[in-house]
Amino acid sequence: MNNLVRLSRELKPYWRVMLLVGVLTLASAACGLPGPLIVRYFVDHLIKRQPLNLPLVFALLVGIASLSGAVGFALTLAITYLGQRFKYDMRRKLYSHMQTLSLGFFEKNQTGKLMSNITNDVATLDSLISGGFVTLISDTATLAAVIFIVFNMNWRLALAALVVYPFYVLNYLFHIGKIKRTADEVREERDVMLGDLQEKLAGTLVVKSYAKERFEVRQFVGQNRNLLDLNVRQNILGTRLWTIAEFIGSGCGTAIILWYGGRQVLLGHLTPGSLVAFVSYITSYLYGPTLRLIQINDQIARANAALNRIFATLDTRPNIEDKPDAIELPPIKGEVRYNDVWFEYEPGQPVIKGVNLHVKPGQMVALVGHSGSGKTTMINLLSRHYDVTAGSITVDGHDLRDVTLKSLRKQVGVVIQETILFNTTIRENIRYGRLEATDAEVEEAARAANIAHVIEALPRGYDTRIGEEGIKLSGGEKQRIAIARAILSNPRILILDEATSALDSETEAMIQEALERLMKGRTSFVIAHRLSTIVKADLIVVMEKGVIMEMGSHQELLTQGGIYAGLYQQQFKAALDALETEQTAA
Amino acid sequence: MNNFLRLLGYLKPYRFRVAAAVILMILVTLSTLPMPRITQFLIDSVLPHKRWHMLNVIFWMVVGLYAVRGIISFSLNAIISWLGQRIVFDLRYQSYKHLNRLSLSYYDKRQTGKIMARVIDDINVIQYMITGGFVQLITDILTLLVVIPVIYSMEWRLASIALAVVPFYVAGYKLLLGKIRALSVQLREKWDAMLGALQEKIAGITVVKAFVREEYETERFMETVADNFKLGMQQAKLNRTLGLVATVIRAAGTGLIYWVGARLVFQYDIKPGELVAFTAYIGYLYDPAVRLVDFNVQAQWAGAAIDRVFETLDTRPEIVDAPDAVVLREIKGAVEFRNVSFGYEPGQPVLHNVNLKVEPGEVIAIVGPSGAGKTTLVNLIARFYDVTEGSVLIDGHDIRKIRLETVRRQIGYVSQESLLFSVSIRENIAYGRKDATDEQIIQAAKNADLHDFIMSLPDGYDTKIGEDGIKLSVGQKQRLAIARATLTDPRILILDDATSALDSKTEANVQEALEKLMKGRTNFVIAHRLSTIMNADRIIVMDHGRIVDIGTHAELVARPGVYKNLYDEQFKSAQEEALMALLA
Repeated sequence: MNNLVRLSRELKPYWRVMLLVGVLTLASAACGLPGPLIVRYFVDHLIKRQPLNLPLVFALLVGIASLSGAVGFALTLAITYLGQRFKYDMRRKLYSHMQTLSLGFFEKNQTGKLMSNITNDVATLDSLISGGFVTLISDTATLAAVIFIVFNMNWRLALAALVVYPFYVLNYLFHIGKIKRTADEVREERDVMLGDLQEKLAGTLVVKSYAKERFEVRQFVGQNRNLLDLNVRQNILGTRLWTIAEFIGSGCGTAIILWYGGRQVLLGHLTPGSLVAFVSYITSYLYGPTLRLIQINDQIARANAALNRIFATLDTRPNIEDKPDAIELPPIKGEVRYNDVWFEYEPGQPVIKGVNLHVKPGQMVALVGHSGSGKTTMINLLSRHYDVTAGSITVDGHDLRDVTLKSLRKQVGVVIQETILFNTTIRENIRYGRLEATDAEVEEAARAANIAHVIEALPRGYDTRIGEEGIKLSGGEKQRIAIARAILSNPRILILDEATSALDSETEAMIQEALERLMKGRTSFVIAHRLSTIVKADLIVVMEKGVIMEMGSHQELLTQGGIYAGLYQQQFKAALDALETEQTAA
Repeated sequence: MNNFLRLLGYLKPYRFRVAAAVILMILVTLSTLPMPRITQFLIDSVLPHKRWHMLNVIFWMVVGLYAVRGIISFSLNAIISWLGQRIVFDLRYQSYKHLNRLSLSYYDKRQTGKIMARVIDDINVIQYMITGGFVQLITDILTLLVVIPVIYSMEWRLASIALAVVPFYVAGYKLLLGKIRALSVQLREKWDAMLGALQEKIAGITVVKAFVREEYETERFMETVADNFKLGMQQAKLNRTLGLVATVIRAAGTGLIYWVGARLVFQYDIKPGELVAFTAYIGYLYDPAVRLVDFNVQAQWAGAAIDRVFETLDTRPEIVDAPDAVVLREIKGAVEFRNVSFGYEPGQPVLHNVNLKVEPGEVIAIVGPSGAGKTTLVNLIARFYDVTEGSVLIDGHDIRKIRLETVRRQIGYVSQESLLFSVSIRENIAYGRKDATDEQIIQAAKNADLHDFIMSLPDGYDTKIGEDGIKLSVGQKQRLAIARATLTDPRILILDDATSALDSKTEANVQEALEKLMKGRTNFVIAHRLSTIMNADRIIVMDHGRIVDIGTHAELVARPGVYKNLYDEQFKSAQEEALMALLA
């Protein structure tokens, strides 16, 4: 219920259109009412053989139909506008809100579910608003008018006609609980099926590597068989409800009117034309609207589930928000300080424990440590995908939390572990780093990332589409495009997370050269496992379980003889062995 | 249209139910006929002649009629909904089975979201069309077939008038049909575009955020939504225009019948009740005509959906078992590339004339610049793609002549990106071998240096990962993928950059375990770190899709070439440092 109240607040901006829809709905409902009265006039005069104004009857019928058609036209346009406008605004709200949410939100929610939030859930709401809303107004009005009319025509007959009403409602109440329960089961089962399907399609490489196709098909079939049974059960319950409803309403209701109404006619209390009009009012204007009004309940329940999901998304507070008084981060030199930084993804499970680090502008920092030691978290904190739990991180003396996210990220360039490119041209992919970049700048960035020669060898050059319906690139090629993209964005602080892992040493050496040029005058954080890369760093930070164990230059750390020295010896033991064999051979 | 007929073919196994449904549809149609006649009887016979007792008869007739009608329509709906759901089931089953048969090249080019849309949304649209629109269409046609003779038998002049307005309706319909159709095709396309944009940018959110493109992306997405908005409005306008025309024409028809019918009543040609019944019947005549519009729009969407579903089903899997494919239950693990050339796209070869013979139990390291064709080469061993020229042989058999399943079951493949599923760690490790015991699973985890980490989790091996579960680092994911691959005890082990995200110490631990595991298997290792590569029996150096050198580490460093350069680059500074450290 709370959801509906909140929804009605969301609807406030549309009150004008809704008012228009309401008025048109009433007009449209009113157009339907005179029909049976014309029939009454017509039938009564025919039976009594009284002269009839036939051109008038014709003109009335066609006139009312034209009017009703015109009103219907306007109504449909108004409703469609309302629905589309609502969907538009709601989708914008959801999508732009999702954009503000942190990466954690996207890791926890499958892409498919988020998409369904924006597409299906919003559409469900629309059907409540443009369908349910109209039904509510039009049917309530029609019901009131028809009850007034039939009681005026003959109140005894009207009362008799309403005898079946309670059974009607009882039948509904009897079925609806079961239907809802089944509907819930259907939804759960379907969600499971969708989740699995999405994952297995995305992971098809694994399914194929393990020759598990038949297993997966069997599993899918099992889920779908359950769904089949549930859906059929739900449909049959629904059909039973409406079949009985029709029997009670149209069947028994009409029978009672004809029987009792016939007696009233014979007693002279009612004209035959009135009886015909009566039947038509009761069957098409009383039960129909009642059915629909009851169904609104259903619609509301469905919309409620959609509302729950939509509001859950909208209520997810971005864990990173600009402070109201956040300032634009001025162009920075790139001095970074971690002051006693603590961080936990889950409360009580700290991942970074009291880190202190001072990086001078232009320094290159290499983060070294076991997987899971917190290196990626360290840099995620720097680009402020998460806020520190305690302590602070400052850039040029500005606490990250005091500056706007946009101004910060504009000056921090990131090349992440998993390369993500979009289904568009290579040019557009590189240009994503700086939308206003000229073609020449794009090409320069590609050259700097050592990918230009690969692109230029393609028949369509920079306009080659990649991804779906485009060409396939190797892992290293994708990475170099991602690097070109980062180069183009010209950041003050550069973060490279495993960015060169899929590159062979030769290509890496070429990129390294480009990056070194790029890094000049910029602060850079590199997570690379190859010591040849690390050796060049101004500052090597050795991490273990969220704590900085050692810090210093390569030379310093070697002489300390700590963890780094150990790692180093290990990696180069093989190299030394090889060296020795060579030397002994020579 | 052909596709539509093909879809109807899916009903064949259920022909008895379909026949029952058709019979019930006819009965339902017939059951609508008596009601106007009862009204007529009431007006013309019961009321004027004051036949009181007949009112009771009418009461029971109406109750009986609706009771029978209720039973029939309930049975009809039950059958129809079963048929609809069954079609969904059959189509989904077929599509999914087929998708599993399609080779990787199909997936390389398509977004998961679009494939999903075919399996789910398209099939739902089809089901909706069959159980909704199509059934209604048949019922409507049946009604027309029945009602037209009935009204002609009642009064041929009135019947002719009623039919006379139909051509106007058809004309109006034809006039707008083209536009409606074109619009609904456009609408469908824009909808797809919207879904595509959404899927890509949600999946790639890290990049969007890294470049602060949130607002830009929102605007771009809203453009696609706005397109849908515009087209939706146009569609509503067109549909309502058609509705308006239909309503007016229908009212004109009814009005004419009142007009002419009243004259006929005054001439004593027909009775008043007959005229009332007649007007009720012509409602049955016009309603179906109006509904055609709805069906047309629905049919448009469904038509596109049907085409796409069959397009998927008709995509020939590139990798299929030859009819005479042999079953290789226990391979020894000899692998041979014989004059292999391969390209993902015609005219763009990635591998050129590769020749390589690997003995069972060898450890082969593959090195080379990115784009050299390393991953492609190992993909061919697992037969994810078929060679363009030449052949790949396992134990002397061309792999195209071996039952695919039997080959892949004996190959352990760890890919560059570690794909895991949203189930428990245990189930992820046991994915390749469902009957593995706990001890085996734990051993596999230990081999990948992952056991201690898993035990540190509150739920241990039952910890769920992925959505609703815990977050793993890239290195942890890689180790999990390695554990999964080793559990199947494969004859051929392929590691495609499988340890790239591991730090040196973890890698050394994993490497040590892997070295033990590699014994007695044929191994292909793609790696960039020379420390990983140096222990290989042979090193394959690739460049531009060719094998440019083969040899042991000692052999390769002894002669100038790509490998020597790689080695020097990576080791020169390190060795100097190491020497200095030794000397110090």
